[in-house]
Amino acid sequence: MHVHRTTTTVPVFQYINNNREFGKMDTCDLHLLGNSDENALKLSLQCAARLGYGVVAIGYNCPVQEKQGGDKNKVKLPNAPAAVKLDGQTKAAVGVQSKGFKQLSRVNMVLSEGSETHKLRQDNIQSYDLLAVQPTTEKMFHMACTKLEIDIVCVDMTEKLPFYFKRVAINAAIERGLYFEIPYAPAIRDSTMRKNVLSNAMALITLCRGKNVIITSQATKPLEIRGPHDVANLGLLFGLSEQEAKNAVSTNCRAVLYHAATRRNTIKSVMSLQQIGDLSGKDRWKVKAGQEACGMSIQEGGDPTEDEGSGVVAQSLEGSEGRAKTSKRRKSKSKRNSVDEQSAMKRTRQDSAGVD
Amino acid sequence: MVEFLSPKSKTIFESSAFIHKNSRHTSCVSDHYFNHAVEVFLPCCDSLPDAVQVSSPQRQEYYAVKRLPLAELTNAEFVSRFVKAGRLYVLSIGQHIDTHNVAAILPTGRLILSVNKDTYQELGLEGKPSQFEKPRKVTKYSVEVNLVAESFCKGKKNYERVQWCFKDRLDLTFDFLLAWQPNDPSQSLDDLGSFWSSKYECLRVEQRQHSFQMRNQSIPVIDSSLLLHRQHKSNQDASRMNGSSQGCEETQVRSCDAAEVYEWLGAVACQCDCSGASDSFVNTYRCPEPSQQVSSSVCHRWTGLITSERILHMLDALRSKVECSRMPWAALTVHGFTDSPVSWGSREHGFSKYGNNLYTFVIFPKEQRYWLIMGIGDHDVCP
Amino acid sequence: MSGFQRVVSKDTAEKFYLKVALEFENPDTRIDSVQFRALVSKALHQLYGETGASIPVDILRFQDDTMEAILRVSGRSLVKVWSALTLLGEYAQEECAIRVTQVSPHLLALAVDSRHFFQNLPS
Repeated sequence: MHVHRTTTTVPVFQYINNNREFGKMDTCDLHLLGNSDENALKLSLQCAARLGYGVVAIGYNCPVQEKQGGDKNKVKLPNAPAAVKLDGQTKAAVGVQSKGFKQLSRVNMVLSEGSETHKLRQDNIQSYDLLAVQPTTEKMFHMACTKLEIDIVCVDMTEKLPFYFKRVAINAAIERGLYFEIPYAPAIRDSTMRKNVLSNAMALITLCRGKNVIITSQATKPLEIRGPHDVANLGLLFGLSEQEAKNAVSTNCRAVLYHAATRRNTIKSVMSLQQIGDLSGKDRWKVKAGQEACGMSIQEGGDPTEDEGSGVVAQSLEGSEGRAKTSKRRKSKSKRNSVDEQSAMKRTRQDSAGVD
Repeated sequence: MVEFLSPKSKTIFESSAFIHKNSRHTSCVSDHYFNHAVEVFLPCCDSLPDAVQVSSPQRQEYYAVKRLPLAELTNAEFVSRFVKAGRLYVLSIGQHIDTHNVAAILPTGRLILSVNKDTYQELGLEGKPSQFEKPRKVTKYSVEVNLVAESFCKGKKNYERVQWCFKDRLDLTFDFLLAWQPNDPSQSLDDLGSFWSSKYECLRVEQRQHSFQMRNQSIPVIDSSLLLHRQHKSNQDASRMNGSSQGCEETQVRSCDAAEVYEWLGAVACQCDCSGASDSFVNTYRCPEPSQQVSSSVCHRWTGLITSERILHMLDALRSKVECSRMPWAALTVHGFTDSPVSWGSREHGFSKYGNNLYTFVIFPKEQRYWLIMGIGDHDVCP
Repeated sequence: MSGFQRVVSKDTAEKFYLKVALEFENPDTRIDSVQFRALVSKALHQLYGETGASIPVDILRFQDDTMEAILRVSGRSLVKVWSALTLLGEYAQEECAIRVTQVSPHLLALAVDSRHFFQNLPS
């Protein structure tokens, strides 16, 4: 069979912007505890919005099943709950900042042994925006850092750790674009937790050299949430530099969101496909620009008849999207490095070219 | 115990005279485009003098336009009717310069966009990386478009590209503040409002006022010829301790230091308690010595978007007032916007912990002298 | 008399000023400036011990109706005071939160806040 198709590449961040509406470099709090009562959650969200956060993720713990039960009616992970509605006053306060306020859902899995990782393949997990794993053993920590398809490694920092952080595992996690979470609300709650959080955070930051760290609240109520600048300042206490501390509440969180989006929506975390018909009007020019750059004629009727070999086209389209003037694009060899939006490509297939 | 680096701060102290041929007071005021608040402090006054009131920004109104696409501000009709026909001040609000995109049109006709990396890569216009970030980790870019350039008109490539980038590639939409000083006196700000009123939500806004009076207050005694007598903190402390040994004891007694005055003016503006004692548990701050008691003084503040022409006007009124009254001195403070992409001229402005750009004139009756104190942040270039 | 003099000081800031807002779990709880100073001491003591509690902090202004305060600290102790305030969770058996709204080495700058001014524009 002879397949004719024209393809063009569109960077994946464009796709994310269009479809999931995040990707601004806002300050984020990627963990509000969602398993508390609904009213407290709503108040916390409103508080976070008023303090200037642009993105907030609500974390839900994956229900733990009783072992001795043994029967097949397992407790299933529910689908991601809908975003909480905020009151008009908050909306008005946030609305002026014309940037909006985004709520995301995240699921936390507490894992202790390798045999439990099948839980990560549940269908419902895909309905959550972010996927975090809380390893409780050294083996699991190593596995989470090196193998699992997740976004955030969140160790329980409020207690003395039952294992040591290993540089090998941490380096692997950094290489794979995973992020470590440091919570601050437990440090507000009581003195023992404060000591543990501080010592664990310092130990972690020494090993990861300030890279790939996000600071989240893990707050259950508004009084435990602090403003983004307060949190960045706390980062200095954990041993981050000024810039790293600021990144821990802004750019690093954004990288987590990209990582999650590429994990969920793309093929092998490198490209994603979209019908040209589904492209918004604003993006169509990219298809055109791509075709022009390849010397293909553009047929307004949507019936281009020439050219085969989609792979070739995709290759030659590197840097020819009309953006070449302003951005130098390097093709990254590492497909795992998908957080870097320059290497993450989306391929758009023009189906109208069709099959002969 | 852990020690942390203390953050940097930049303050510029100048002492000069308004009549000096190289005096830079005019350029300091007129190059600082986006003024959020103006504040005057007049000691020995019961109320705001009429001459100052008349020249105040009270009657200078401005517009707030909601959700206005950037393409509207760069289209040829708008440029020829407003940008080229006067001094137009446009600044986006509600967006934070450290994390979001910010746009502004300077009265010189330049559009400045301070955008983050994502937007920059999609925008398709040439810009330069922010100078406050490490060369290989740039997350902010600044794009400049000269709206009054000859090549910026319908049909020219440059114009069409800018329009296409703002309209078809990205719809950058902001809430804007606009103030306009038309060249032609028959035109007024109303034209600006009616230009869009059918399409976008336009609000005509007045400057907000705040004023308070203080009675029986101590104010610092200032000698205009002594700007700073503490080049070295340690020396100064020592001289305070053992008095005469430095030989400058007399001058120290005669006048307060500019840094002290600057702090004190801040304390007054924030309505702080200036009656602390060195043994107080709550507050040890007090008015710097030497001080004098005055029966009444006035502090008046206007807040909104104030054009630099207004401020220049007001500075002149204040100068003549100080000269012919019995005030020992008077102060005028101008606050810039935290989230403005420029501070003075087209110098880049940024935010790290704080994003101040403000200046204060302390005006003296003698020989038309003044002090100019400029306070800027870490992410700023010295003017 | 010297005609023109210009001095640029760009060292580390000698003094820093913080504008903070205090919030209690019970919105009607009110304290006075002396109690507020004690609260700041408590916060410093709980995170940095005795040396922390001895850091000089001046409460330049405390409004007991809105529970907003302006603090003055030396530049060297800014990070310490700030983090101590952030990690304070309780005072006099009541949960509370201190959030820093503005920070600056220029006290004058705390008189206006352009970031929050336009949130109150009528829509």
